[in-house]
Amino acid sequence: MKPPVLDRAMVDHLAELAALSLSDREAESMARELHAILAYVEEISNVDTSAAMTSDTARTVEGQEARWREDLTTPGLSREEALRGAPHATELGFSVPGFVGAGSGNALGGGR
Amino acid sequence: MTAPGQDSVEQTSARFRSGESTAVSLAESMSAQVRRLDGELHAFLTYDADVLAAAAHALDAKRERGDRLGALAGVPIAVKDALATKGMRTTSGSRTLEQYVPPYDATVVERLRRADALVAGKTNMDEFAMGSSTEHSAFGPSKNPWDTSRSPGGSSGGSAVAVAARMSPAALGSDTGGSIRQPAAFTGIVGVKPTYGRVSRYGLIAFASSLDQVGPFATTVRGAARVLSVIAGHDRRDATSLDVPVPDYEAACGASLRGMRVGVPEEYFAEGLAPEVEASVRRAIARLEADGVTVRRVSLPHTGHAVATYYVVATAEASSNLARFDGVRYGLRATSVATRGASSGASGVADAIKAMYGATRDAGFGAEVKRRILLGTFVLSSGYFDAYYRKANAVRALIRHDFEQAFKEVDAIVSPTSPTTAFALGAHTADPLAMYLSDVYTLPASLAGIAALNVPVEAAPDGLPIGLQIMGPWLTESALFTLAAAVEANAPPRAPKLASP
Repeated sequence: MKPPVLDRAMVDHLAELAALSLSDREAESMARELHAILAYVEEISNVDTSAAMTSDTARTVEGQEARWREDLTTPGLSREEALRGAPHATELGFSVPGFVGAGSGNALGGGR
Repeated sequence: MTAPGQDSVEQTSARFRSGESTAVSLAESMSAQVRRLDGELHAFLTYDADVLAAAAHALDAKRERGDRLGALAGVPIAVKDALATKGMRTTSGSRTLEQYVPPYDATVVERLRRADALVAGKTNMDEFAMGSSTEHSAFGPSKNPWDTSRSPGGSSGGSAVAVAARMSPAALGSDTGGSIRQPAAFTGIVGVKPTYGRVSRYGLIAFASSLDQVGPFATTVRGAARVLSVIAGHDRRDATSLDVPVPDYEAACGASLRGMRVGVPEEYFAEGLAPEVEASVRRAIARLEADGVTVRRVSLPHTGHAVATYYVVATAEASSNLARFDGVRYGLRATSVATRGASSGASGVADAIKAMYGATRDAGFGAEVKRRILLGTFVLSSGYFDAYYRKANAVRALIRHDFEQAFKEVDAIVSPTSPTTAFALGAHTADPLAMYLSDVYTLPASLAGIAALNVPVEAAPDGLPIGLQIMGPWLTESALFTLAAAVEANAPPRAPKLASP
C-alpha cells in the first residue's frame, strides 16, 4: 500500500478531530515529525499476518477471559466531592461556557 | 552508622518491627535525604514531609498499641505521579493536572496504606507516561544520580531516582512499553513489570489501557518481591484484573535454580547494542549457567516489528484515553478569544464549548502528548484503521505467538533491558523517532502482556549501571524473582556516590 501523505492539511484535520488548537508553528513541525514516524511505522504493512490469531480486544492470559461482574451498588463520591476539582461549577453541576458576556463560568445543564 | 535511607525494604521493615527504629525516624531520614539531594535530582513533583511525619506518628502509635503490623510497616515508598493519591496532588507530569487533587486513592496506593507503608511523595515522570527520559515532564527532567548530566530513563524516572539515590527503599511506577524496566536499568536498581492484569490499574491515569501495568522499584530483588506481593491481586474496579491467587514472591527469592532453562534470543543482540552492555549481559548469563541454569538460544522472529506495532497500538489508545481532559470536570481550563466572544444561540454555545476544549488541550498538553494524540487519531481514522490499527493488532498477535513458542522450550528469556547505558539529557529530544527506538527491547514483553523485570548486572567501565531483562510467561513472576535473586548474588546492589552524605 502507498504511504499516505501526512501533511499540514492532514494535521489540521486530525487536530480538529482531536479537539486540539495548534499554532501554525506547532502544526508545521507536527506534520514534519509525524510524517517521519509514519514512514517508519509503515514497515508493518509488509508483515505477513495471515496466520495471526487476533481479535480487536486485548486478550492476555490463557483461560482468563474477560468476565462480567455483578452489578452491585457500591459507595461513590458525593456530589460535593465530585465537583470539588471542577474548574467551574455551581453547587448543582459542572459549568461550561455558554452565554454572551458571561465568560466561561456559566452553568449549562446544571441549575435548570 | 547506616546512611539515611540506605536500607532495603526488608531491612527497613525489620528495624521498625524490632523497635530499633521508629516510623517517625525512618520518615525523617527519608525527608533529610530528599532535602539534601532533590534540588539537584528532581525525583519528586510533590513531597510533603509533614504529611509523611503525621502518617509515621500514627504508625508508631499503632505499634505501641500492639496492633498487627502490615508487610510493609514503616517502609517509605515513593509513588509515581500517574497514580491517584487521595488529598495529594496528582499531575501525571502534565500542566493540565497541575492543580488536580484526587478525591480517591488508586487501588495500589490503598494496598500500600493497608500494609502500613509510608506513602511518601509523588515522583516525576514524562507527561502521561509518554517518554523514555522524563524530559517530557511539564515540570522539568529528573537527573540520573550516577551522572547528573544523564537521564534516569522514563517514563517512571522520578521513582527510579528516588530509589537509586536511596531516598526511599522502594517506589511504584507504571510500565506501558518499558517505563519501569528501562529507568531501573539506567539507575542500577530492580524494577518489575508484572503480567498484564496481575496488578489493578484502578486509579492509574490511563495512557494505553491494554498495555499499562503498575509495578515496583526497589534496591533489592527481595524488596521488589515484597512490594509486588502487597499490590498484586484481583480488584473488582478493574475489569482486566486477574482473579488468581497471589503467591509469596519473597519466598521465591533464593529458591533453587535446579532444572531452570533460560533462553537467549538472538534478535536482542543485534545492531545497535552497545558493546559494553552486551559484554556485561553475556557475562551475567554465563554466571547463571555456571550456577546450574540451562542456557539455550531461542528465536523471537517478529521482534523487529515491535516498535512500529507499539507506536500504533499505544497512540491509538492514548488518543482515546486523553479525550477525557476537556476542562469540564477537573483539571485545567483555558479560555480562548473565541470563547469570550461567543454569541448566543445553540451554535454559539457549541462554538464556545469547542473553542474552550481546543484552548484547554492546547495549553494543557505538551508537544509529545499532542504528537501521540494526532498519530493515534490518524491510525484510528476512517480509511486508515485497517491498514494501521487492525494490522498492528495482528502483528501484536504474532509477537505474542513468538513468546508462546519460545516458552515451550524455556522457563524464561533473558536480554539486555536497554541497548545503551543512560543517555545524556537532550540526546534524543530533537528526534522523537530516535527516542522511540531506544525502547526496542522492552516493547515486545509489553505487547505480549507477559511478566518482565530488570535486575542490575556488572556496571560499564565508566561506572554507569547496566540491566538484565528477564521475561517469563504470564503469571510466572515467582520464577523471575528466583532468577533475579541469583543474578543479584553475582552483582550485589550498589549505590551512587552522592547517595552517601
